[in-house]
Amino acid sequence: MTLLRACFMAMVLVAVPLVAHADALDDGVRRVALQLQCPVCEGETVADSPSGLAADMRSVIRTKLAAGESDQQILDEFVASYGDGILTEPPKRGISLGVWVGPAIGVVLGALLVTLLLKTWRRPTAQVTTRVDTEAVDEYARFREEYGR
Amino acid sequence: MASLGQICIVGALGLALYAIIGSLAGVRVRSRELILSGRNAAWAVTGLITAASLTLLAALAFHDFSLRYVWEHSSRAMSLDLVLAAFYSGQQGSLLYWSWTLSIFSAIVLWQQRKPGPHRVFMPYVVAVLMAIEAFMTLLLGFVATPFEALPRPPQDGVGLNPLLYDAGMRIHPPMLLAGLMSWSVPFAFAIAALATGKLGNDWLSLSRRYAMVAWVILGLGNVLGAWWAYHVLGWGGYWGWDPVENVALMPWIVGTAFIHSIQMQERRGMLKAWNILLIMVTFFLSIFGTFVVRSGILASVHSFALSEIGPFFLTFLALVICGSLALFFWRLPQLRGDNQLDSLLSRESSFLINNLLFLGIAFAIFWGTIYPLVAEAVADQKVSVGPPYFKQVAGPLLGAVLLLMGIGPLMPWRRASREHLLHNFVLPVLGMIMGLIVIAVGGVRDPFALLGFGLCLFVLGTIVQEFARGAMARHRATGENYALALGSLVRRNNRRYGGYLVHLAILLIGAGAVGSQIYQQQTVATLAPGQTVALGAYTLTSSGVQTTQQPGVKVTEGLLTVNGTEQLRPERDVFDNFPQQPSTKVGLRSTPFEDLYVVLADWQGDGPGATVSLAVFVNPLVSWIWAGGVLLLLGTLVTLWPAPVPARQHVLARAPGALGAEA
Repeated sequence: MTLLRACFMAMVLVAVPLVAHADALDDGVRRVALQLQCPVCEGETVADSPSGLAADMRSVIRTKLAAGESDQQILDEFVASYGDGILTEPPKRGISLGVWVGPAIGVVLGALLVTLLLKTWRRPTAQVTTRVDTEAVDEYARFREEYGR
Repeated sequence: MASLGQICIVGALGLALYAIIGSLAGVRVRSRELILSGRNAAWAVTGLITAASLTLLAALAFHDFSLRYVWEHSSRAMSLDLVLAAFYSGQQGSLLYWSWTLSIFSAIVLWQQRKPGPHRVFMPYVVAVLMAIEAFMTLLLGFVATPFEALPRPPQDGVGLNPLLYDAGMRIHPPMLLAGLMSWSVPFAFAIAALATGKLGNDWLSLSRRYAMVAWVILGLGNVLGAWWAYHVLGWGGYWGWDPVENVALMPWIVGTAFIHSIQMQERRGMLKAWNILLIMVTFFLSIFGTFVVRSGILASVHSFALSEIGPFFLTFLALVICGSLALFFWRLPQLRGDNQLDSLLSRESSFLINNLLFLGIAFAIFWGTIYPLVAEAVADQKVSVGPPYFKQVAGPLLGAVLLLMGIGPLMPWRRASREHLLHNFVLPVLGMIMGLIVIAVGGVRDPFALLGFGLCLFVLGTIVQEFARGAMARHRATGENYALALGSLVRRNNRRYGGYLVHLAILLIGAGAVGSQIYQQQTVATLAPGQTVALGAYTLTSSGVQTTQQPGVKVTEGLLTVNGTEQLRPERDVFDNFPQQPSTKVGLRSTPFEDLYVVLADWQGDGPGATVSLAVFVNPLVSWIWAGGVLLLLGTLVTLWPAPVPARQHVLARAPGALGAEA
């Protein structure tokens, strides 16, 4: 792998002697590697991990991209050999589905609870009569708070 | 040294236990002397833990490698400030730091509440709760994770600090974070005292509000500083990685945010009494959870969780605290009926309810995503990674909703909003938002999410500016002060309201910075021989190799780069002699108010001016707004905490229920 990388680097250096503009392959490798979790480190993507395994994985990605594979194909191949745990974004299937469903259920239940509370607390009477009063009192309170003593 | 520290810790444990018993028994047998002795014991605990901490600091400063902790976390090559920072860089030391700050905060509370007053009934229980937490910490420090373990044969030199921690951010971010987590203990203690005494009115809330605000700002700054440190040191181009360690410190802050908003419902309308107690309890549970996770890495997998020494103790403590507080809560629940009445759905009350829903939703989403890998491993024995994409997709929309509510909520009147009121308050901010959006759209911002995010920020900005302007103008008319003076005295007299707006402004800055840097970050990687260039955004970087210097204990390699032909930029890689496998990064950063050029020296081949360098280059828009937001967060909170001027104080005291009419 390292040899491959060195060869590639040499190629780039020979082909573009003066201006090494961000070449598409470099950025492609980073784009794919950012979606993969480094298997041997904690909380780092393959793109940012300094570990040897991550470096090898990056060069695998590079080879595959150079061979014309799409991002999704490459990701699928990594999932096939490492399992869903390799993806930084948990897929919405299998056991990983639970992580997505949890907050949805939580927020929906919470919203139902709040709606229920608002309904039970709602004072049905005195719609018109209190309206002017409460507002005037509130405005007055604010005025006192800000300008008065 | 070792035995001195150990004696202080064990002594503190004994006295903390005495303070609990003395205070509680004193209340039971109505003995003033016994309560007083409990309080004095708490003072003595502060003294002993301070002595233990100073012992460890002295051992570090004098390189006493007969202590395992000193040997593991410092070395002779380290400068004095770094050696002292090693105090809180390991697990045992950080637990000692936590309990030291807790003892100091306890002493501050005792000092502030020493005069007679309505708080008197709470104090024995407050002392008992704070000392119970302290007793648990000293138990850990004395017998499980002791920083005073002696080595039989003291080595000549220490291992040194983890290279990631050699940074200015390191000296301030962990202590802030730990102190922030710790300081929720104080409002929690008042809540427990309220439950225990049955005095569930507003007294405990007005006492603990200030402590809650202090905890909120310390933890908030801890999080911002953590982001700042990650941005400067970790070298992956961002500031928030949704790492478990970051998440556990964020969760109590978010639930605490819900608490400091929700208490206004009780203060003003007598609503949500039970809910507020629950909120501060959950905040405290999450803080304890965070304290143990931050330093132990136990969330990595089920196995590391079970294997860690403090894991079982911490779980037991957390379970006891949760069961105990909930039992107390449900025992008092019948007396916690609030005057829950709602006049209209369009009111401040309902916006606070939605605020609570959103903050708890965010906290739950983060909690779920953080522990889910553990759950999946335990339940199905499968490895699941939950990375940043999950948190962005789940928390992002909720955070957007929080922004929207931040514009609407503060302008909603209590009880009921009329149509005229809504028009009066929201026409100008909405118009301002539309104009602002047109301007930035013409300026090139086209991404729909960016327009949504910036649009929300502009709307909230409009509402805040409108509030300040209207207040200042009204005051100018009423008193004849000029506008600047009117603005000043407005803030001075209504510091809680306008300080709150300043804090909202800080959140806006952070929000805008996050939107800009998340959506418009540009990045590229390049390998450059000397003289070659790479271009990104408005920048062209030219390499002239590297420069390597050997400094005491560390080999520093700098990449020599020129930005746009003029400025020098030197991203660094430091390899510490004791940690050759863990090179640390110093990012080359060129910061302007609108964007940062962020360069990481990833690798290099060869030496000196002839070396070929591999770079990761980022352009991060608006990141400095986040740091500015952190500063404003502190200032705004200080404004809200500033003691009110005397007339306003009298006014607040006079504002008892029903007193409004009497004042007129």
